[in-house]
Amino acid sequence: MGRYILKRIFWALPLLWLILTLTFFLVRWAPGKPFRRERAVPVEIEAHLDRHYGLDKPWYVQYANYMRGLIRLDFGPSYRYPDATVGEIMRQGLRVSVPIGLAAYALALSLGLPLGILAALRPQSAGVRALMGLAVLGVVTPNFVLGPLLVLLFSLTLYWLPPAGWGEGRHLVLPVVTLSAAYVAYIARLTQSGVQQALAQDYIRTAHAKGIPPRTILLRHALRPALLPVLSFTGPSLAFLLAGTVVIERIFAIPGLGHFFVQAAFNRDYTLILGIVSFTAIALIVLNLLVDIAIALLDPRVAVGRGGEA
Amino acid sequence: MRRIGYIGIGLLLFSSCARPTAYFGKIEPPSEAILRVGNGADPASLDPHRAPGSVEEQILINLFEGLTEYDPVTLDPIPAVAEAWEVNERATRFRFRLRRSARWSNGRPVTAWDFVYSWRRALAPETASPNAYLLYYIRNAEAYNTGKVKVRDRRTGRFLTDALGRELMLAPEELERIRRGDVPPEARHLHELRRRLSAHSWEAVTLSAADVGVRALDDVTLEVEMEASTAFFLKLTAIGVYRPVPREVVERYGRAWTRPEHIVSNGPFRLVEFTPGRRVVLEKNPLYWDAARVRLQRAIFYPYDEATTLLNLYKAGELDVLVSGLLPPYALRRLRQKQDYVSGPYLLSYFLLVNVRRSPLSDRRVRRALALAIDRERLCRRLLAAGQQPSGTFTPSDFQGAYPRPSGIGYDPERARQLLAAAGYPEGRGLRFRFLYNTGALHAQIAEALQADWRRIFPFIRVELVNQEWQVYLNTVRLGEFDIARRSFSADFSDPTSFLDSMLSTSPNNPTGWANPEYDRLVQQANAEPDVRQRMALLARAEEVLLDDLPIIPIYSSVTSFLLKPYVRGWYANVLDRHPLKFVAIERGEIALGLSGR
Repeated sequence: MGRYILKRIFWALPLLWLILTLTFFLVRWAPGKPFRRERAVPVEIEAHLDRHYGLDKPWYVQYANYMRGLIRLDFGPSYRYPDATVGEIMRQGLRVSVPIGLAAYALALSLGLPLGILAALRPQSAGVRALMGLAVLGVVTPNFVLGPLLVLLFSLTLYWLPPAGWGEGRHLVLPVVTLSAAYVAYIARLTQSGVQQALAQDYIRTAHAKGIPPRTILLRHALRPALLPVLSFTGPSLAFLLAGTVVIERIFAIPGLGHFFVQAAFNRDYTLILGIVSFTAIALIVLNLLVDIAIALLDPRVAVGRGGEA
Repeated sequence: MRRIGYIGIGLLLFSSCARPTAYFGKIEPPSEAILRVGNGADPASLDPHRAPGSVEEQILINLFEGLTEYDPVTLDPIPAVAEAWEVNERATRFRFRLRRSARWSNGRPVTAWDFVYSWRRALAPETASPNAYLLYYIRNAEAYNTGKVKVRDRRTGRFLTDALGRELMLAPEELERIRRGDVPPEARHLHELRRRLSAHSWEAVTLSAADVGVRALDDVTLEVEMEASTAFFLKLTAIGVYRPVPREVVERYGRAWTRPEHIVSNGPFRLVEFTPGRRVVLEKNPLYWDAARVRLQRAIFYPYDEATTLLNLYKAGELDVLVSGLLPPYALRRLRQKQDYVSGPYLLSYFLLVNVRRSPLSDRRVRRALALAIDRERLCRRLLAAGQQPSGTFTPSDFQGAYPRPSGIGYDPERARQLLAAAGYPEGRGLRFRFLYNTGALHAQIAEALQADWRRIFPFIRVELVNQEWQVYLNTVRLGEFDIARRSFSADFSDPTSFLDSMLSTSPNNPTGWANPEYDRLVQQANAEPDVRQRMALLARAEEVLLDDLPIIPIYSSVTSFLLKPYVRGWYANVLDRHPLKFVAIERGEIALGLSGR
């Protein structure tokens, strides 16, 4: 198992380097410059700005400086926010994206798992079928439709919750519900089919024959393999949730990482773009790794198959 | 991302159709004297010297106070840190008397030395201030900021001047070329310089911060020497980049000096929170010299830029005011019926840049024909619901009657047809060009309307519409890779030069390739003219030259257009959309009075 993990880490590093290098050159190839505005400033002032941020240097020097900074986890100054560093802005964004992401994740799991199990155990119940129908609706309704609908109902008609903003508990409700809706639905569907498949296995029938109580069979024997697909889905989803969900942050004016990423792209804030891409890439790689380890622990055959030996 | 807005549109219209009221949404004054402002975008910086635009300006004019402040209605300069001033006859020297009661928020007095330090800092190349050019009216400011040199006669010790009496300024590479005698034949400007220099025994002088024309005579007397006559200088001293910064705090904390835990300011408010993307919170500064007048306890600026989100927040009673330009165009017609909708003139011109280097637009008759074929009245009436005014001139206003604005170009299809036929394109046959605009619903609609106008009058014309993302568009225009491109321009200060300077042949804002020595001469002469009436007359003549040549085609002048809860007092529609919160108050229990009297 240890070698399997080491091998995964070993391969993650060149992947990360590739992503960052590609992003570095892509943002620089995009037409436009960080300090361009409709009212142009004298060329000498543009030159001051370029010099101030090292943009007057050749690309390979900029690239080398960037990589050197990255090794020290220093992403440099933001071009858009001259008073702050990229690290500070990312911390700011994460302080917002992480609570939303974790809350949405927790909500999705706490609703999706029981719903999926219930649907697998009582597939004929009208109530369960109605709930699963709702779950399907959750999958097919994009969050840019659901979000405004919730705003319309709870903010502009009932005046119960704020339509946008961030900072208080009440600001969390609508974005979290909107964000988790699709995940609840996915998790419920995956759990349902996982549990159904597991319950149809021979060893479950044997367990029933041995007289083991159904609750124990479900929790001890069926749920473990049934959760493997859920786990492989929720790992990367968590990375995306943490890295900020652009659409949700736009609809509810939430200053999370996704919001800063969109702004950075429009403003050609190279360092901020690269910082957020680095974070997202690292989060994705680490969470995928953790998921794979968890899967390997749940089903050791996986590690043997992938890693050769465990 | 636009889709999100459009989905919101339907929902919003639906929701507000249900209960028609005189006001838009919830009207409930906040329990305390707190003003919540929808400010449109995230402030990039709260450093007056590094903040790039109007979003920041709206916040930092309340944190820092300049020599003068904007009158909230007329925007005329009113005493602020300076309680009085004197100007010499030629408007080349200004002496300000600072009030002794002016204090920084740490209790230290605001002195003339603070202004000397601040203006020099704004001009220092290492500060990389994007607005340093607004200080170029001060003597030697441009030379210091841009690293240019001045030329001194060795014999007399005087700086050499140009035909208009302004001191000659050369970029180091220009100087080098003149010294080496390596001046290309097309560089007429350099040949002229060379000719002028050859009559003297001269030396080049590199200027430093100490040479900038600002000095403190004592703690409360500041003297400013101008590069040339600058009759409108007092209007400039209220601009953000002219406001002072606290030296010891800036030097101690460097880039981090504007953070709430470090910042020291001298305005009516002080900063208590700045969370990018979320909000900026200001609180009344008890040490402000005029604190008794400040009625707001707090002001919260929200940086949201999605128009529908802002409108929802305003409707739900979470915002008290939106700064101008943030209302979604689809909702304007309905919002204009509401009592909390406010509108007024605004110094912003919407116009087309014409690349005169490219045929067939290099032909003045073609440009004039295109300009005469635009039905501006119809365009404003049909498309622009905020009340924008059709405009045939580059300058959007007569500046309170002070500026004899030319009559401008009108709508004359017959004359347009004649001109185009004379240019060799009867009914637009053989005439084709590309029309560039940046992403934005309004720009696309305007581009289509102009295309339709031209087609109606010249049936055979071919206009290809090209849409580009904002930064790509800016780049394309900058490189001059366009035929015709849309553009809008708002004033930095309330004076025609804020527009007309931008079309000088040397201006970075003139990517049209148009250079007219007569225009340059008139604008420069006007800028050196101390007599206000004469100056305005010269500027109007320059604008006539511009409108005769038409490297730009004016379309309309804009308006401020915003929503304001009826309990907010002292926030007026004004031509620069500047709102010093010193004059703003929340009044409870007077909603029924409506908006009259504000």
